[in-house]
Amino acid sequence: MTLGLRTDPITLEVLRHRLEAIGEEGANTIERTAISPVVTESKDYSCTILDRDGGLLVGAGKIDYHFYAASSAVHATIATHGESIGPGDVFLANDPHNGGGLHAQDVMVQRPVFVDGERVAWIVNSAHLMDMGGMVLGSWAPAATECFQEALRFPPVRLANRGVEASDVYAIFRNNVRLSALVEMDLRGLVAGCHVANEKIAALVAEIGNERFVEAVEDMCDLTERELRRRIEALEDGVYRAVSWTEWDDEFFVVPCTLTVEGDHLHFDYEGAAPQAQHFFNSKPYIIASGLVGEICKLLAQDLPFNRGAFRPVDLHCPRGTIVNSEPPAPVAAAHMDVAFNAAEVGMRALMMAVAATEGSPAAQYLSGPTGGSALATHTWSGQGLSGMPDGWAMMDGCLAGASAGNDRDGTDLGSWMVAANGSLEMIDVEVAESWYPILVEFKRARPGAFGAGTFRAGAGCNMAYSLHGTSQLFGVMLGMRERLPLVGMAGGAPGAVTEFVMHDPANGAGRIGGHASDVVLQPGQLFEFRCASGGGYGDPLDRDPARVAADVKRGRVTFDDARAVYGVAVDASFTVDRSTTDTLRAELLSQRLQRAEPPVSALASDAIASADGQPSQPLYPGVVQRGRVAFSARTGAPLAVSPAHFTDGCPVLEDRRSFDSGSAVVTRSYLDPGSGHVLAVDVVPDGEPRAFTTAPRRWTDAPR
Amino acid sequence: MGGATCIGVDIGGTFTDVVLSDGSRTWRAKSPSTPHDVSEGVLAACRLVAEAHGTTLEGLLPTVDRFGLGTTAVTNTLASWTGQRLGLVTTAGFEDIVPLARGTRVSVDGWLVMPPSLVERERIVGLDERIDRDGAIVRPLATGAARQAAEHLVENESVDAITVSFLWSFKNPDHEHRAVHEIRTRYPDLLVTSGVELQPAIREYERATFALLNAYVGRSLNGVDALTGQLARLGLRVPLLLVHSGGGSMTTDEARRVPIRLAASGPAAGVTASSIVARTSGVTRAITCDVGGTSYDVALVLDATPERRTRGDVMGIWTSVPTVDVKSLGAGGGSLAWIDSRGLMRVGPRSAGALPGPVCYGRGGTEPTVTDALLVLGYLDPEHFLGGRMALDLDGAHRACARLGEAIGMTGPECAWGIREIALAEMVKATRSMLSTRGLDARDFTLITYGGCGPLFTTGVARAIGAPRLLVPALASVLSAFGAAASDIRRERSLPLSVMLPCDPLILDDAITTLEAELTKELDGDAVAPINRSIHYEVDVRFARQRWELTIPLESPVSAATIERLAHDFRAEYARRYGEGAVMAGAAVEVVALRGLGIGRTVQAAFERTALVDPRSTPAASGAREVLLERTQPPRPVASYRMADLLPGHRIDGPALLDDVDTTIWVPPSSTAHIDAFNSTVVELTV
Repeated sequence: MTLGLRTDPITLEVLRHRLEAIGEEGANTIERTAISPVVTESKDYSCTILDRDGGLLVGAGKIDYHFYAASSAVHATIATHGESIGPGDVFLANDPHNGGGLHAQDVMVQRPVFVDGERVAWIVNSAHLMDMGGMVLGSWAPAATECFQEALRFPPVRLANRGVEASDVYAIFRNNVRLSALVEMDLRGLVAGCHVANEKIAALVAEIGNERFVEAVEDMCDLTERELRRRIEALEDGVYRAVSWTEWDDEFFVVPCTLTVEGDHLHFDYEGAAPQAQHFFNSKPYIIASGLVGEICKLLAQDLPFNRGAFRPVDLHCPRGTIVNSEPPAPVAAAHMDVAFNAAEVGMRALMMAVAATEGSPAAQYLSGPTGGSALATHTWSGQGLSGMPDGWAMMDGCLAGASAGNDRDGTDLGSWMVAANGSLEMIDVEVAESWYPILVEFKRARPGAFGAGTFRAGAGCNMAYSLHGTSQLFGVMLGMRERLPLVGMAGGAPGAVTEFVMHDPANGAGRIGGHASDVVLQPGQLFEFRCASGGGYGDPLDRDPARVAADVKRGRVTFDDARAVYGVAVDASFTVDRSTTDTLRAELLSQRLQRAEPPVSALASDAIASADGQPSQPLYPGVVQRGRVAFSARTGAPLAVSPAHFTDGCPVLEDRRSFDSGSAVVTRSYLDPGSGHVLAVDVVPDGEPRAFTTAPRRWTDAPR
Repeated sequence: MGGATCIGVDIGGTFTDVVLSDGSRTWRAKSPSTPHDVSEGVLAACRLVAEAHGTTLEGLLPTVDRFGLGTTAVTNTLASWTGQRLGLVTTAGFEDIVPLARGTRVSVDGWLVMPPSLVERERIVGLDERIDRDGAIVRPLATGAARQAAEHLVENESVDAITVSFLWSFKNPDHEHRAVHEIRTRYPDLLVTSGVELQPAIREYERATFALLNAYVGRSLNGVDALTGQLARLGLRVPLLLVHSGGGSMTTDEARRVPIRLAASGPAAGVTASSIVARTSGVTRAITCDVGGTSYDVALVLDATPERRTRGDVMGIWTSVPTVDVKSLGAGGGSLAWIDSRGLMRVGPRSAGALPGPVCYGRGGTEPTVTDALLVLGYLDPEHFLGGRMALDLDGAHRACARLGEAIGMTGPECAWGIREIALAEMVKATRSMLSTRGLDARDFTLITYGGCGPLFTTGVARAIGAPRLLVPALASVLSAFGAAASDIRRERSLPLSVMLPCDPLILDDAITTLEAELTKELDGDAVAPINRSIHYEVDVRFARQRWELTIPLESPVSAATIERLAHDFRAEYARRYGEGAVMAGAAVEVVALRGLGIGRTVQAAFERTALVDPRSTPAASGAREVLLERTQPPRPVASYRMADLLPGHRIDGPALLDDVDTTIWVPPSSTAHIDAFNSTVVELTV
C-alpha cells in the first residue's frame, strides 16, 4: 500500500505523539494555574496547537468544542494583523462577531510560534472566564438585545508585543470585568500555558526543520481526511432531515437541518433557520461547525487524530442573518449554547439516520438518541459572598443533563454525552461549593421519574436544591433550555424530561421560574431547585426487560405506578416482577394504543406491496426495512409505505398535546407498527408543526417502480 | 545499621522476588507466584535465597532482623472485584453522590460509561442530619437512626460491611462518631469504616470512597495473616513490615486498619527502592522508569523522596489515598504492533501477555511485539537471553516484522525500527506529562530505570526529554523486593486548615502540636524507638480557590518570619514552574492543609559500597552485534560486554550494549557508561 505521503509513516506517528505531549503540557499548565472553578473543577479549558495558517493540528483539554473555534480565532488574527505578527506576540480576542471564541467569556489567547524568523505554528489557549463585564455578572444577560450590552468585546488585540506585556490592555480588562483579581489570574494561566507550549513547539520544529515540519503536519491532516472520507463513502447516499426548535419562553425558533450524503462528502444545510433574534443565543457558522464536526468524529472517527483534515469532507450552509449566522448587533453571549447545540443535534440526528439506513455500518453499534447539549439548566448567582465582598458564580452542575439511551444500554445519569472518547464536564463537590458560595445544599441527586422511557431508558439529569447560608440574598439569572420541547428518543423511545427551575417559598409554596428569567432573587427561607432535562429512550418501553424496570423501582427511579403505565410491568412490594400480570398489561397497552390512534395518512396499494415479494431486505430505520420499493415493520412484517413516501405514512399515529399556561403547546406523535401497536418512532414538535424527521436514502427514494 | 540481616519480598503477578542482605552482600531469587496461597510462593522464593546464602530457611529465619513484604493482595481484590458487599450510611439527600462518581465518565469501546461503584444504590441509606461549613449542626441526628439503617442493611440487604460518611463530618465529627458507635454496638463483629476516622478532609466524595474502599478490601489480608503465622512457626522473630502505596512501610496492624493503602504496594516499593538508589548515589531529582512486559510506569523522586499525590484513582475510583504518583502506560516488551485504518503503525496498548508472548519466544505468537523488534534490530542477543536459558527465535521475529512492514511498504528491519521509535515516543509522552503536570524541567533529572527491557529504551527517553543522565541499579530486576527490605516506616497525618497568608503563627503551631501527638502515638504503636524517629511537616499552599497545591516544607516552631518565608517560597516556586507572568501581584495565598510525616527508621538493607578500580582496566568487549541504529543506514557493529565482567570504576564509551542476566543496557553513541561504587551503571549523555 502506498500512502502518497512525503513523510514516512513512522515519523508521522512519532510526531503526533510529540505534538499531543506538548498540547497536554499546555493544558496541564492552565489547569494548575487557573483559579476559577469552571476551569479547575469543571475543566472548561483547552490548549490547541495549530499550523502556521491556523489550521487545527492537535487539541488538548476536555472541551473539543474549542478546537475549531481556536482555528477561526487565528484566521481572524492573521486577517487583522497580517505581516506585523512577530515572535513574542500574544493576542487576545473574545468577540464571536470579530475574531473571538465560542462566546465572550471563552477568551482566545493566541501565540504564534516562530523558528528562525519564520512562523511555523500557533498555540491557542482558551478557558471560560467567570466574568467579562456587561450587564450582569457572568456576562450571560438574557435581557440584552444587542452584543454591546453583553460584555467587554475584544477584537484580536495584543496582550504582549514582541515579548513586552501590553499593560494598557490588561488595564482595560481589569477596569471592565467583575472579580477582576480572580479573572486576571485565569487569563494569566492561559498566557502561561501558551509560553510553555511555545517553547516546546519551537524546539520540536527546530529539531526537524521548518520545511519538514510543515510537510509532515500536512500529511498528518491528509491521512485523517482520507480515512474519514472513506468512512463517509460507506454511508448510504441520500437526504436525511431533522428539525428542532430553540425556545425563548413561548417563542419557538426553528433550527432545521437537511443532510445530504453524497459519495465521500457530507453537506449540512440549515436553510430555513429562524431570522436572528434579540436573544443571546444567536450563533456563528464556525461555532456550529466546531460543535458538529466534533460530534461527527465521535460517531465515525473516534480513533482518528482530530485535526483540520476532519473538517474538509464536511461543509455547512448557514444562511446569513439567521440565528445560525448572525451579524452585529445580534447578542451572542450564548452563541455556542441554545441554537448551536440544537444545530449540532439535528445534524447528528440526521447522520444517525444515515447510519441506521446503511447496511453493516460499523457506526451502527453507536446508534443512540441525541446528545444533551441543548438541554442545559445553567444559572448564575451574584451577591455578597462569604468574605463579605461581592461574589458570583455560574452553577455548572446545571449542565449535567441525563444522556439519551443507546441501542444496547441505558443512558448515563448526569451524562449528556454517550458516545465519546473523553468525559466532559464534571460536577463540583457539595462541600467545595458550600465552602466557596453562601449556600446550603438541601439535596443533590439523579432526577427521579420515568422520563426518556424505552427498551433502554435515558439517564437522569442533575436535580439539586439549595438555600441561602451565609448571605442575606442572591440575585439569579436563569439560562435554561428545553423547558417545553424535550429531546426526542430514537427507534420508538420516549422523549426525555424538560428543564425546570422551581422556587419553594414557605408562604407561597412552589412556583416555577422561567428558563430565561434574569430577575430572580433568592431570599432567606426560600429553597431554589433545578431539575435538569434528559435525553430520550431507545426502542419501545414495552420491550424493556422487566427485571430492569423492577431494579429502577427498587432504586426509587421509577414508581410502581409508572412501571405499570409506562412499561407495562407489574412489580410487587418485594420488587419482584409478576410475569403473567406483566404479559397481560403489555398486551392491553398495545391494543389500547391502536384503538386510540389516528389512522395512517395514506392507505397502501396492494399491487405495490406485492412487488416487494422476493426482494432483499435492507435497513431503512431501526425496526424498519426496505424491500424493493416498500417499507415494512421488521417486527411484524406489516407494510408501512411505498417509495418515495415517508416510512411513517402507513403508521397509525398517537397524538398527545401538552399545553402551557403561558399559551404555547407541544405535540408528541408516536408512529405505531400497524401490526402490533409497538412504537416505531416518536416526534415532538410545537403545536401545528409537521413531522420533524425524514430519512430518505437514495436507495429508497429512487427505488425502481 | 550494618550487619543486620534483611529480607525483602515482592509478590508480583508472575514471579515472587526475594532479596536477602546481610549488610555487606546481597543475594536474590525468583519463584513463580502462587495466587491461590501466597505463602507457598513466598516460602519457595525464601528457600531459594537461603540456599544461595548457604543455609536453610529454618536456619536463616531466626537470624532475620527485618522481613519486608510488597503484596498484591489488595490489588487483586480490586482487580477481580471480589471485595465485601457494602452498605453506605450517609446524609439524606445525598445518597446518589457515590454512584454518580462526580460525573466522571470513562470511555469503554467508544461509549462513555460510569466508573464502577463500590456500593449499589439500593444499599445506600440517607439519614436526616446536617452539619454546615463551620461545623454547626443544622439538623440533629436522631438517636437510633443509624442503628435502624444498619439493621435494614444487614437484615434485608445482607451486607458484609458498612461505611458511614456524612457531609462536613471533618468539621464536626459528632454525628458520624455517634452513628458509627451505634452500628458497632449493634453489630460488634461487622466491619464498619468511617470517612472522618480515615480521611478527615474536605470533599465528601473522596472521603466516602476512601472509607468504602477500606471496607471493600477489608478481608484481603487473610493471606498475609496466614503467611505471618507460617513464618513465625519457621522461626521468624520479627514482625512483618508491609510496603504501602505511599512509599514507606507499615505494620500489619496498621494495614488491617487502612488496607487500601496497600493497593499500589508493588509499584510503590520499586519507586521507594529507586529513591534509596538516588540517595545512595547522590541524585537529588530522579525520574523512575519501570519497563515491564505490558506497561511503562513512570514516577518522580525529588530530594530523594518519591513524589506522592494525595488523591487520584484506585482501579478507576477517584479517592484521596496518599500514593506514590505512578503514571502507567500500556507499552512494554509484550506490546503488539499493528497498522491502523489510516495505514500508520501503532504500538500497544494490546499486549501479547505471557502467552503467547512475543513471536521470538516461540510459544505461538504471530504478531510482532516490542521485544521482537528489539531482537530484529540487534539490541537483544538471541543466544544469551535470560543468561542463555531461553533461546530466541530470530527468524520468527524477522518474519513477523516483515509481514507487518509489507502492509505499509517497509522492510522487516525498517518495521522493527519503527516499532521501537513509536514505543519510545509514547514513553516520552508519558514522561513529559509527568513533569509538565508539576511544571518541572527535565534537564535537572536523572532517569533511574529498572524492569526487563527498560534500559534499552530509557536512554532514548532521557535524550528526548533532555535529561543528562541515566542510572541502572545493580538490583534492577528485583528492585521492588529490595524496596521491601529497605523502606522506612512512614506515617502520614494531615489537618485541613484553609487559612490565608499571612496568618497567626499560632494556628500552624497548634496544628503541629496536634499532629505531633498523633504521630508520636502511632510510632509508639509501631514500636519505633524514639532515637530512630523523625517527624517532618509540610504545607499544601495555593492561590485561593485553585484546585492544585504546591507542597512546601515547614519548619517548626513557626514564627512570623517563617510565615513570611512560606509565602515567599510559594511565590518563588510558582513563578519558577509556571513563569513570572502567571503570578499576579496581590492574589491571596491560602494554606490548605498541614501534613506531618512520621518516619521510623528501621533496620534495613543498604547498597554496599565497593572500591573503584582503575578505568584503564576496563575489560575488552566480549563480542559485537550488528545493530540497526538509523533507518536509512545499514546496521553497524556494536561492542557488547558482559555485566558480570564489569567492576565499579570501569568505563565504556557508546555505542555499546551491556548484557546482564535479565536485562540489557543500551549505551548510545556519544555517551559514556561507568559503573559506580554501588554497582549501578551510570550512562552520561552528551546533549
